[in-house]
Amino acid sequence: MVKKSEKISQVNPTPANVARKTKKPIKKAVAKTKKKAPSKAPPIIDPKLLESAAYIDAMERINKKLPRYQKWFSRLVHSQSIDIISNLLGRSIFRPSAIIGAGSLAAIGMLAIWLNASNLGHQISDGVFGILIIVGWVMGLVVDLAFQVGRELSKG
Amino acid sequence: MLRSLISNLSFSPALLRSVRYFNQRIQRESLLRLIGLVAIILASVIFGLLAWQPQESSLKSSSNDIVFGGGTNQNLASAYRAGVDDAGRTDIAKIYDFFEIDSIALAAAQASDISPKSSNYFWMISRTQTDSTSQQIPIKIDDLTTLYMQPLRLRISPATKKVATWRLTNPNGQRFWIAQESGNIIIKNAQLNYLDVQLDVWMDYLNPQTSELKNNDQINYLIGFRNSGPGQTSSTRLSLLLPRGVEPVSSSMPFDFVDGSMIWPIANQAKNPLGLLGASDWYNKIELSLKFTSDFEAESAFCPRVTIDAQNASLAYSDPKALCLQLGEVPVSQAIDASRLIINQTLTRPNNQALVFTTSLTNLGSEEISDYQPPAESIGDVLDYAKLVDAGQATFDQATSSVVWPKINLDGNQTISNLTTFELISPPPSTPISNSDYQSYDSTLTKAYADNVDSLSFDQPLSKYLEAVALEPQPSSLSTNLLFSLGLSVVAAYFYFRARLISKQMQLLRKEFHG
Repeated sequence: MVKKSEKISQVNPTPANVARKTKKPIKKAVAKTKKKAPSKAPPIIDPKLLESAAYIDAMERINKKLPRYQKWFSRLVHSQSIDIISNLLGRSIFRPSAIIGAGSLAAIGMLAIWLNASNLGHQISDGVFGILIIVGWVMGLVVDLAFQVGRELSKG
Repeated sequence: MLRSLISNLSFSPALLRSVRYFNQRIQRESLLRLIGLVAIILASVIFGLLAWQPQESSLKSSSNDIVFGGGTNQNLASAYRAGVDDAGRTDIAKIYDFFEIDSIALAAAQASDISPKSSNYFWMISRTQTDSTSQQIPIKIDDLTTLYMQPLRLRISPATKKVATWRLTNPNGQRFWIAQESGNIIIKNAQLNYLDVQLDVWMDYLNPQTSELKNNDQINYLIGFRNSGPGQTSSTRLSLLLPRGVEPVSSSMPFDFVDGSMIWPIANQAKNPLGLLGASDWYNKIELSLKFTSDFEAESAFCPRVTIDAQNASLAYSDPKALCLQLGEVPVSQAIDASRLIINQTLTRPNNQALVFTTSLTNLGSEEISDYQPPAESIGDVLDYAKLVDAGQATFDQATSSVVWPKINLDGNQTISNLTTFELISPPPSTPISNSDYQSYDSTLTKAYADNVDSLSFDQPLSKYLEAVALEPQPSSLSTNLLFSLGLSVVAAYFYFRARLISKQMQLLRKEFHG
C-alpha cells in the first residue's frame, strides 16, 4: 500500500519531496527537482518535508565541523528512535538531579561506610552500593520535583 | 526541541535567540550531568576497591561459638582431643560426640563454602538463643548444655556472604558442616528424624477464680505444650473447639479461627518460618481469654479439650482430664497428677543503670519434680552492654557466658525464683558485630530463656548506625552490583556526552548564522 505522502511526492516532485526520498541536502534536492519537474507546473511545497530537509541539511553542515568520533556519536544520538528514547529517559528517570542524587549519596555513603569499617572493624554487605544508589536516585527526583513545584507556586 | 529549532531556523532567523537560550540550558545540564557522572564513577571505584579487598570483622569470636573463634580442621580436632578451647570451654567433645563427630572426622574434614543462595537450606547449631524464640529449636545435649538450632541465614551477617566451612561425614554416614569461624555445627536437613518425638499438652485456668460464672464473663486459660523429644516435630497444630456462646477474646500466640475451632500452628511452616517444635523439659505457654456470651445456655457445660494434629510424632498425648464449666459454677482447677514445669522471665529496671532479670520455675502439677537441673541461662548478649553484679542462687560460668542454676526440687504448685542483677556499661561500647553472632553488639541487649524474651535497645552512635547500614542484608550479589555500577556509569556517561555534543552543535549553528 502506498502512503499518502509518497503519492504526493510522486505527483509533485518538490525539493522537499526529493530531499526526503534521496536523503540528500536541500540544495541538491532543489537541483534534482528542477531537472525532473515539469517546466510549467508550479511546485507544491509541503512545509513539514521542507523542515525535515532543512534539518538534515543543517546537521550535515554542522557535523562536517566535528571530529570523526563525534560525527559517529552524533549519528547515533540523533537517529530518530534513540533520540526519542533518550529525550524520554533524560527528562524522567535519568534526569541530572536523579544521577547527581544517586552518585553523590553512593559516593559519600560508600566512603563513610568504608572509613567506619576500617576504623571500627566490621564487614560490608555487597548490596549496600545498590541500596544507596536507589535511595539517592529517589531522593534526587523528589528534591527536583519539590523545586519545580515550589517554582510553579511562586510564579502562580 | 533541538530538532524543531534546527528545522525552523532557516525559515525564521528570529529563532536564533531560542537557540541561544536552549544552548545555555543544555550547557547547564551538561555541567550537572558531569557532576553526576563524576559522583557515580567515584562511588563505583570505592565499591570496586571494597569488592577487591573486602573488609573483615575485627571481632572474630563470640559467646555463641561452640569452639571459641573456630579455626582450621586441625585446630578443631585439637580442641576436641584436649577437651578445652581458648576460652576454657570444656564441653566441646561432649557436643561433637552428641552428633557422633569425632576427632578423626574433624581432622579429615574438607574445606567447603556454603553460598548465600543455598544458606536457606542449612541450619546452624550454636550456643545462644536469639530474640526470636519461635525460630529456634533447643537441642538438649545433657543437663548442663543446651544448644539452639536456627536457619543459617538468620545466623550469619551479612546474609549475602559465603560461609566457609569444614565438610565431614560422621561414622553413621551423616554429613555435617562445621563453620570455620566458630566451630558451630551446620546441617542440611533441619529435622533430626532418627530421634523420637513425644508431644504433651494440657489446659488449666490461668488464675484462681473466686466468683461464679455468669453470661458475658471472661475466663482466662493457660495451655501448656511441649515436645519431650529428643527429636523435632513439624506440621503440628493444636486446636480447641468452642461451643455456641463461647468466643475467643485474645491469645498470646496467633491463632486461626476456623469452623468454631481455635487453631494454633505451633510447628507449621505457613505460620512459623522454622516449622518445627524442638525438645524441651519445660512447657511452652499459650495464655488465652474466652468470653461466655448470652448465647451460652444455662444447661450446657463447656469442657475444653485441646487436641494435637501432628504428622511425625511417635506419640501424641492429649490431656484426658477436661475442665468442665457451667453457668453458676466457680471455675476450679482439676487435680493435676503430673509434673508440669513452666518457666517465666521478667525484666525490671530499679534505676537507669541497673537491670534485674527475675527467672522463675513453676511446677503446675501436683507431682514433685526432683533433682532437676534447669537449663543454663545464656547471658552473652547481656554482657556485651552490662556487667554482672549478682547471679543470685546461681553461679556464673565465664567459659560459656551463662548462669547455671543448682539442681532443684520443686513440689507441686511450687515456684522457685532467681534474681540476676546487672549494671549497664556507660557509655555503651562501640564494638563491631562479631563474625559468628549477628546479635552481638547490635545495640540491643537480649536475654532469651525458655520461651521468654526480654530486650533493651540503646541509642546508636553514628558508627554503629553506619555498621547497621553496611550489614543490612540485601538479596543482590557482588557480581550483580558490579554490573549495576558499570551499567550506571555507562548511562551517566552517555547522557553527559550527549548533552555536551548537543551544546557544541548549538554553538556551531550559532556561529554559522552569525558568520
